[in-house]
Order: sequence, then structure tokens, then C-alpha cells
Amino acid sequence: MEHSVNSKLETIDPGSTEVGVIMTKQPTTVAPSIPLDELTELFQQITFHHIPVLDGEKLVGILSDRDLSKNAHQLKLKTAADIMSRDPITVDPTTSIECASILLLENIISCVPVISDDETLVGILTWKDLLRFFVYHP
Amino acid sequence: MTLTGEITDFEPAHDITVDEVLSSALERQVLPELIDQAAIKIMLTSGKALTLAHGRPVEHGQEVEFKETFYFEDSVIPNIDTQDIAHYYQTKRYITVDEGEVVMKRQPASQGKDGITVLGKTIKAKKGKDKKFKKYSGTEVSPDDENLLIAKVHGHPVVQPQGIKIDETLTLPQASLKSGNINFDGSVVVNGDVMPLVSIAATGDVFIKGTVENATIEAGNNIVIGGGVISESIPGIKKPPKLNTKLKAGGEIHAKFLTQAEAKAAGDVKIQTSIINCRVVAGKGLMLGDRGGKGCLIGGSTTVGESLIANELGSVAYVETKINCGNRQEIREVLSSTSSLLHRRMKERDQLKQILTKIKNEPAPVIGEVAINRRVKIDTAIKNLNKVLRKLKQTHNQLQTKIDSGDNARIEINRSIYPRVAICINGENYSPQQERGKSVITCVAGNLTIT
Repeated sequence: MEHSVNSKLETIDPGSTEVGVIMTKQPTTVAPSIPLDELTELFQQITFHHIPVLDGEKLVGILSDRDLSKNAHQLKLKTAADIMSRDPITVDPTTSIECASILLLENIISCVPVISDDETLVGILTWKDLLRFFVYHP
Repeated sequence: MTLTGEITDFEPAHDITVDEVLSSALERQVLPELIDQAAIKIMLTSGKALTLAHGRPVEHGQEVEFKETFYFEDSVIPNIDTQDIAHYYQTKRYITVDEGEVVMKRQPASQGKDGITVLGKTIKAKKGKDKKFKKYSGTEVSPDDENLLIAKVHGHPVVQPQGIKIDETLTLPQASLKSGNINFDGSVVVNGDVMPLVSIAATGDVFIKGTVENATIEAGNNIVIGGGVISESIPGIKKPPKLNTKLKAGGEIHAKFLTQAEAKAAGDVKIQTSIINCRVVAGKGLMLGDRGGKGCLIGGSTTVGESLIANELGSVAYVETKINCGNRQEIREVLSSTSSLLHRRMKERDQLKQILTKIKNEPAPVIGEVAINRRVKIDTAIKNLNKVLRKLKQTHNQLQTKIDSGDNARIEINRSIYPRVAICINGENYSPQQERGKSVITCVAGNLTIT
């Protein structure tokens, strides 16, 4: 995972600054067929709480560690495809930070996948990325 | 310059006093202010010979000094990369200065300071030789300070005796190992050839009177080459032949011929005799046979934004020659991307509007003691999105207009077009099955016409 908070943020305007500038690029992803027990191991190794689910390069859903906890009794029986949230709200790299922030807050979600023109995943934007942006850049 | 004292028959108990020594010195007409009484005391107690009075040394005046304010980074030591390869072409840096910039400082000659002997005799100081700035093109003495030389124009500073001249264009006899790679903020003139492995990058024009071989030329504006442009296999680099010579111009490219080279120009490409096995991209037109040359395009791939005029396309050997004419396809791609963005922004605006409708009657939320007016914030975000949408729609319409009127793609062949020449004009394909004579190929409203 590569955080891309960079010098472009010298002049801050959430209405015109784009998501692509602060999103986390190349996020960790999983395939829909990954069994939940493997996912459990994966979540133990990482420090974030959401993983996009990709079919090839296309985004098909998003999975949180909370989804996994709810299905803790069925780890051997189910796969990511069974428990993931389908049709997640997405943004693209040129969506304004202002708009993405409102979508996150008002839909009560903690992250949005960032997809390109051809619907391939290019990054992920979490509430932490937004908080960093608003707090650390004057 | 000094007075030295020594007691020749020293006996510590002997009571010679400081005053006696002082009197003796004064009798010899030594200036009292130059006498060092502490030294006299040491001499009297230690018996050692000591200097008891110092004259004031003369300070001759300094010569005038001229010092350039910029730093030359030239070095004979080549850059050595991580693979221990020495890059001897990267030892020079062609700096530029801006108009109004101080390029040289003058430290005027000084008068010097007279010296004096212990007996009060003056030793005259020599004055430093003073010189003024000399007048050279591109510089002038600052009206506010006669010791500052400032640049009148932007260009390359060349240090001269007592001054600096500014070359608005960097002129070199040849681009070679001696000149090294050239990276210049301005225009470059090479009066001879550009030798293999040299690269030239200039923000202005690049004029080359000779030929270019296995080199890279990049210009912010035009590249004009009097001779030809070729790539030749570099020793140690085996087949397949590469397009080792690369030209990239923000304006036009003019040359006598191109062979196994890559040439990209935002404007026109004008070649006098031939283009053979090259990759050519001309943002506007490609004119071959300019100024009465042979004018043939053989092999390689050629992309032109608007028109191609040549005497011959392909060759009697039926060499595969690819030509893409018209940028309608590219505009379509940009249009498609703009449409996609337009839809995304509209979707985002609709999402925000839905949120606004949903929270319309809800009380303003509070964080601790702070009331949040999210309706105003969301409304502002919608207004911002509307601005973006207006811009995107404007771009969309402009692109659409370009496509609708963009049937200026045209290929004119004055003599012959041969089989295995594959033409794609505004997305429509054509390849002659047999040799054709003078022809004009156009594509109007998607209809390919050959006359």
C-alpha cells in the first residue's frame, strides 16, 4: 500500500482538490473465491479494515473485518463473494474531496473504492485519508 | 622596519631600567608610539634579543576584480551511474541567465595603505590598477550601481575580459563528445553535425546545419536540420535495428531526409527527399518533396493529424508502409472520456441532491456543542459540481464540433502509391491492390474517396 499524500496539497481546497491526490494507491485486494478462513488470516496481518474484491481487474464488492466477524462461525463454508457488500458506492480519481467526504459521511461508510473509466480499481479512499488531509494541510 | 634590542653582557642583577632603554631608543629617533614596552621588560629579565619596536607594514592596493555571479558546473569528471558506467556526455551544463539578473560584480581597485619605519619614514603604497566593465552584447552596467553588470536579455552568459556577453542562442561548431549533451533554456545552433550518442534539449528552436546520427534532439519549438537524419547500429548493439535517432518538437520538424528515425512534431513535418523506415508523428501535416525533393515515404509507420502530401507512398519493392491520417479517432477517444466524466459528475450531483432531500427536514446535527450546517455544505458541493459540469459540457461540445467538421484529413500523392501501403484515414482503411498514379484520398463524413 502506498500513501500518496504529497506536496500537491500545498493549496488546499476540498472543492477542487481531487481524490486521486490523496487516495491510497494499489490497495490490497482479494478474489471473490477466497475462503473466509484465509481472509481471517489476511486481516490479522494488515492494519486496515476494508479490502476491495476484484474479479480480474473489475471491482465486484468490498469486504470489511466486521463482515468477517459476523460470519465467524462459517469460516470454512463461505467465500468472500458470499459476504461482501456488492455495488459499493465508488468515486473516480477526479472526484472532488468535498464530494467524496459527503458521500462517506452521509452514507455512513468508512471507505470508497476509487475506480477508473473502465471500472478497474485504481485506489481506495478511507476516512483516515480524509482526516489526514483536513487536519494536516492548512 | 623594526628595532631589535639585545643585552650583550647579561647579568640579571644588573639594573638597566626600562626608561634607560626607552631613552636610548628615542635618542635613535625611534617613534615612541611604536615602542613595545612589554618587550623591553622581557628582554631585561630574560636577556634574550627581542624586537622592541615595529614599523607599520605597507599595504599595496588590490587590483580590480571581476567575478561572475553564476556557477559553472562543467567538470572533466564524468557521471558514473550505479552500473559503474561513466557518462562522458554529461560533463557540461549550459546555464542561462534572465533579463535583469546580475551576472558580474566588480570589486574596484583599492588605493592601498602607506607603511612607516620605526624611525617614522613613510613607505609609499602602490595603488591597484583600476578598470571599468567592458561593453559586450547582452549586458549593461547597472544604473544603480556601477559595480554590477546586469543581463539585458535572457541567454547563455559567456565570460569575457572585464565583462560578460549573453548569447541569446547557444551556438556550437558541432555537437559531440567535446560539447557533451546539451540542455539549454533557449535556442541552439549547431553549425556542423550532431554526432552519435549526443542529446540536445532546448526550450526554443534547434538549428542544425549538418546531419544528425544516432542522437536525440528535443526542442520546445522547431527543429530545423539542413542535412539528413539517420540511425546506425551502435557498436555492441545488435539487431534488430532500432530507431536510435529521436526528434521531438513542440513546433515543426524540417530535414532533408529521415532514415530509421523517430520524429514527433506537434505541428508540421517537412522533409525534402525521403522518409525510410521511420516512425513519424505530425500533429498537423506531413509534406514530402518540399523544395523539389524526391518526396517518398517508404516503410515504417506515419501518423498525421490533418494531411499528407508526398510524391510516392511505398516502393516498387512493395515495402509495408503504415499511414494513419486524421485525428478524428483520437478526438473520439477524448470525447468518450469526457462523456464518461460528465456522467460520473452528474451521478455524484444526483447522489448529493438525494442526500439533501433526505435530510431536508432533519434537525441540524450537533458535535458536542458545535452545530453543523450540513445542508449548506452539501448545497455548496452541488454548486461546485454544477460548475465542473458546465466546463465538461463545454469541452464536450467543442470536441463534438471538431468531429463534425473534422473532415480535413487528406492524402495527396503526386506520382505513385504502391501495394502494401496501408492507409487508415479517419478510421477508414484503404490499401491499393496495385500501383496507382496521382491520387487524392479523403474521408468525408465517414466516406472514403479516392480520386
